[in-house]
Amino acid sequence: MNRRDFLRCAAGTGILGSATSSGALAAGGWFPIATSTAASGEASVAALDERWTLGLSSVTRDSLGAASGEIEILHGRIPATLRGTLYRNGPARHGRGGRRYTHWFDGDGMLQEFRFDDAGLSHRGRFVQTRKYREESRAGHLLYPGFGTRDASLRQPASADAMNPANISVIAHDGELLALWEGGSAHRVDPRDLSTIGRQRWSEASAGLPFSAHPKRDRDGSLWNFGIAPGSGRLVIWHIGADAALRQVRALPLPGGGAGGEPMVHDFAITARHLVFLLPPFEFSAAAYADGASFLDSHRWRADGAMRALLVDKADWDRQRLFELPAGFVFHTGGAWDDRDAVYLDYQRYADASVVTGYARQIMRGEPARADNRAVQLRLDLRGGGAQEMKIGGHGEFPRLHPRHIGRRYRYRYALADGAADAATRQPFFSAIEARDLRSAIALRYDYGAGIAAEEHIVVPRPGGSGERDAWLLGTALDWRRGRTLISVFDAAAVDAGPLFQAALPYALPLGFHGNFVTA
Amino acid sequence: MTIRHKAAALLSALLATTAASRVLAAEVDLQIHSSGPTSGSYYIAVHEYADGFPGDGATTQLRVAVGASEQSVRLPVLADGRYAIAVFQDLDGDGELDTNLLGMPTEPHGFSRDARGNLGPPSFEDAALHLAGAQRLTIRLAD
Repeated sequence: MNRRDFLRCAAGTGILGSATSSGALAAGGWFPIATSTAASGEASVAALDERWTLGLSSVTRDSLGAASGEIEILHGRIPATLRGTLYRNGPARHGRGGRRYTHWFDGDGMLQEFRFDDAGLSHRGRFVQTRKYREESRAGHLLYPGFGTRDASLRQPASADAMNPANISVIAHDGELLALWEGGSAHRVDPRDLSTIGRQRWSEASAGLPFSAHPKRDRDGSLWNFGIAPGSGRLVIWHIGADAALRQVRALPLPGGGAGGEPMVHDFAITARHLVFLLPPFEFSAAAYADGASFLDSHRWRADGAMRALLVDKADWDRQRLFELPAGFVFHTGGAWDDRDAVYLDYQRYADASVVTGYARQIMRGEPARADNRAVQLRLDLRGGGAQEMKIGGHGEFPRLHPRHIGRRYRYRYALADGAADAATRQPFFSAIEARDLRSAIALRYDYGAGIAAEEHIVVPRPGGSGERDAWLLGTALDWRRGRTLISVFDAAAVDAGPLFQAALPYALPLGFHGNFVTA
Repeated sequence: MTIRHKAAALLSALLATTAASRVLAAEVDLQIHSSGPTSGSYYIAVHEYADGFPGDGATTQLRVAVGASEQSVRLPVLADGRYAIAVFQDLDGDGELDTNLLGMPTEPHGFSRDARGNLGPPSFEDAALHLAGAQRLTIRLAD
């Protein structure tokens, strides 16, 4: 498609139209523009800063794309041995029929494909054709509730999969792609044209069970995952063999037992011997859900509760241990490993669940919110049974590591971080990335600068390389001032030197969540 | 093929012998819409009581082969009254609504009034409706 058409679409009724006409954004959600102390030049810049809401706009067509000739190279060249495809997923349609969702996590998932081949870099994007997406496309308006949006005008979903937007992540699996949500099935996608094959059905007994968006690839090539079904009192654990066949799936009683009170858990970690779950005191109430509250609003924060760490023995899932930590909330873990005496795990710790109950709603209304957290390393003592936490970094999100270090000791951790201009522009996203050396505690940073929201950056091992930093760091960013999405390649060992390669799509994509690289 | 409960057979006999009296009958033309494959059988259960809904408390049950994604099924004549109807599509021919490890149905199923439960089947009250005379009902199956 051509750039001018898309931008016109983005700026006019096409992309943000549904938000504006519903009044969701127009009804006073915009933050105050200039401050009295700002110099006039700064004020005019600040006045334009609401454009970060482009990151929460909607793509209103099923697919889009740009060939290599339509993508502007801003800097450098593609490394000669970087060949393969970065796949990403995220909500890209935040409403329909004049109605806007109230939460960032509600919208329909759109897969983005950034292909690096001998012809250069090309891009394609296509919505996952979930049942929900197809039904709502036909109807021309929303039919089903979302994670954080529900009212009497929306249908009661017959199952979690009836409202499955497949909008969090994407992995390669058995020659196909799996578009991942966390409350229901994965969706199978054909990598040749990003068309949706259907819901993944591993077995009869596991059909429709929750399959989280953060499966972990073990050293033997097998895949671990989990899911929590609200109201079931159970933790579903999945183990899929390197041959892509289901090895085992079980629904284990959650600690505490009984249905109700299931904690909201988005991610987990693996070590050589354990699966590690952090269970925040943010718990599901079936009564609230029965009263019509959204899935999110059916959760209760218990400030006097503990966050618990649950260890499950990979060899015998009934062998479990529980540790108590101060109350807190978490989306993402970084890495984890164990030795004879302890399990170590790093994660971004929030003081409470306001990142999901507040922040992710406020930004949908155009309000520049912030949700503070810090990177901590947790040590679970396998002998004494105690737990300690140590701060290892500041405000950040989307931690990633070298894929071969998942489940084993690692030294380098990559995450989004605050940029120098974030406070001034008041964009509610991160404009910097950092590569943190956990041994020296030195973090190398690259700051995209004012007006750019960095998205998750992932580690792509260099072919033939063996070291933990013998890799590239690949990631996208939304340049919301210029209305275009950037893709950059860094040397993982010299992130602070800036990108080896950077290019700009001729259009802007809404901000996504997670992705993975598939080597050609 | 039609399987009838004894109660339904008795009811039909009763209706036949008292046709001239003031017993009212409901003749229901049930439209089943399924987005699943057009194979297997529909199991249709008509419940008169909350007790045993949507399980084994049906007063009338029947099975019909699936022939189309939108299919019309004429129910046995019922006495005028309040009923809830549950339908599932038996895809694997085992005569049961299959479920996963957590007891969630894994075959297409649906209820009268297109009732949906909160994290489980709907209540009898949510699915129940008054049936009288010649009537057309639609149930959309979800999987």
